[in-house]
Amino acid sequence: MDKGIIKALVIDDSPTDAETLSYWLTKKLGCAVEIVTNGLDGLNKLAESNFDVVFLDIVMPFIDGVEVLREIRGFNRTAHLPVIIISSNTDSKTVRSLMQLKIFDYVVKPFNAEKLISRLSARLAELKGRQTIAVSMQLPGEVTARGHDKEIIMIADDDANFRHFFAATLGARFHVMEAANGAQAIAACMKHRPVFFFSGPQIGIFDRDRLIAKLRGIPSLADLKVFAIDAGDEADFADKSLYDGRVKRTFITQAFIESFNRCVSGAGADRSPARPFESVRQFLISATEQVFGMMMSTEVCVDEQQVELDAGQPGTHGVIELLGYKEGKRMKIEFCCDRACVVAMAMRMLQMEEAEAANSLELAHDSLGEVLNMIAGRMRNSLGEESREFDLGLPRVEERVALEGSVEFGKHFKTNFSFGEEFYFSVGVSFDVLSTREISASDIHDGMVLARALDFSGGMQLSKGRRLSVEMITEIRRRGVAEIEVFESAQS
Amino acid sequence: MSEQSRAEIMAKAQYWKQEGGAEFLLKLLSVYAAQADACMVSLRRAFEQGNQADFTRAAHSLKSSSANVGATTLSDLAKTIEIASRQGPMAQTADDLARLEEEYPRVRKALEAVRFSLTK
Repeated sequence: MDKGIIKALVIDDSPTDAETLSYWLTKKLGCAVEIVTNGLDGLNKLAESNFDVVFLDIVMPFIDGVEVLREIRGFNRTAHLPVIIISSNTDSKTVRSLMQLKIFDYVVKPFNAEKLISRLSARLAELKGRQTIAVSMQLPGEVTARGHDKEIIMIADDDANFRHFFAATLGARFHVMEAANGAQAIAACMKHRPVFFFSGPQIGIFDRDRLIAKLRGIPSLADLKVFAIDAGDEADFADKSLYDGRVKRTFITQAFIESFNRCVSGAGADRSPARPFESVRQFLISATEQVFGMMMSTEVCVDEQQVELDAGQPGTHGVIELLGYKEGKRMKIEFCCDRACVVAMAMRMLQMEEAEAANSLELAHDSLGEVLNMIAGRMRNSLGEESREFDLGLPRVEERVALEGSVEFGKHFKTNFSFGEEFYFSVGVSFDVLSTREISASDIHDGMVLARALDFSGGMQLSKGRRLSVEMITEIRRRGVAEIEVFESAQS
Repeated sequence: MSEQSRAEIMAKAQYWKQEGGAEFLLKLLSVYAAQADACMVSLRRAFEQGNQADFTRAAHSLKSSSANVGATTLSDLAKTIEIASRQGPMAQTADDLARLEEEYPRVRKALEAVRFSLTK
């Protein structure tokens, strides 16, 4: 990215659509745009030039959008390039492929200027933030440190000398990222999710307490540990409740490391090994917007006004589970909407007339089940990027006489979405602990999942979360194990 | 062409003229004319050759591009053809294709009138 201008490549075989999209991107969103009208030209362009984002049509001759995206993901330099799908009528098989190939967002054709600009301005701003951070925070050695098994920590401080000292001192143990101002720090934290955040007394024009209060308000950063770095003047440390601790600001290496270790060991002791479930909310919103939007060829977005569904009305309820055996957690994605909404969905997704859709709720339910399956699949992929393994359950969709009580929006997140002019649905995610039971070796069958690791002599181990095969069961019995602990809800 | 269809094309042209200026509108009209002409040829040829994939793709392309210049009747017809062609035999779209082929020259005429008003 040059001087903050986003360089976009539009790949669309419809020159009219490409020209209008290019117009909005250039005139309203300040992008530098190049257009190609088929996938092969698009791949050639990407091979010879760098772009910050690609807008990709799906239905194209010779090589369609899914194939182009697959090529993009397979090419080292573009493997993580943000791709925004330009979608019209998109079938479920295509949407499933796109979800697996990780899209950044989608826009619906024909373009509605107002919605297009509103949707893209937010997404491109996010992109701009990411790119700026990536460039400004790159340090010598950072590329090789990233992506391995080091935890990410961040230092935000006005003083480049102290940032450099901090990075040089801790670079062997952590992947250190730097921010010179508050805006950079917030954007980088949201993007890279450090485990620890260290803040000097001055961070650009940001008041430190204000910056930390902002970070504390971001749900996906709920488990971030925040430390002040001060020379020793307690007055620098205005609101103690905002911080998890304080590290001595000194250039004396030994003194700094001792202070740092005291802080980190205290903070790390009660830190859970995995990120809390708060982080899944963003995954859920993104997956729901993209899957529903593409399946219905319309904009679907989080409804800011939080319109509540009428709980007394009949409606549709759907649920799908994600089972994390290694963590011993179950994540439940629930959906509900009223009758008018599910009919509108069927009309859009199955191209049905209103009367036909109203009389074919079973078909609508099948489609909703497929959509839930794709949302959950997308979430599983996102969690997988955080090295968290989840198995996908089967979706269940049913009609309810009243929506009241059908979705227990208790200790979890619910988000209302809207599409078209007047339709709303809610999607929520909740989580609980997977229950376990003891079972005698003679009753084990394949497909069960171990809830406690099994240690055999000779160093052999079957780890927690392992799904048992026939061969493993034979070995367990041969070794004379009397009982094992398995998860109750494992689906064989 | 109904008065409403014509009015929609004129309104969209006015919108683009105000938004992007006469130069951009002329460019858009020229790009659309070339694309839509090619789509119409592809549709008829694919229909006669029984090439359902090309037929569906041409209808798909005509659908969204026509909406961008305000030719909503043409866009809706193209959408109907595309959906029907995805769901069943191409032959069942014959009537809609004929209607599309009747509508298209009217759209071109309306767009030519816009172009003429910009260049005179």
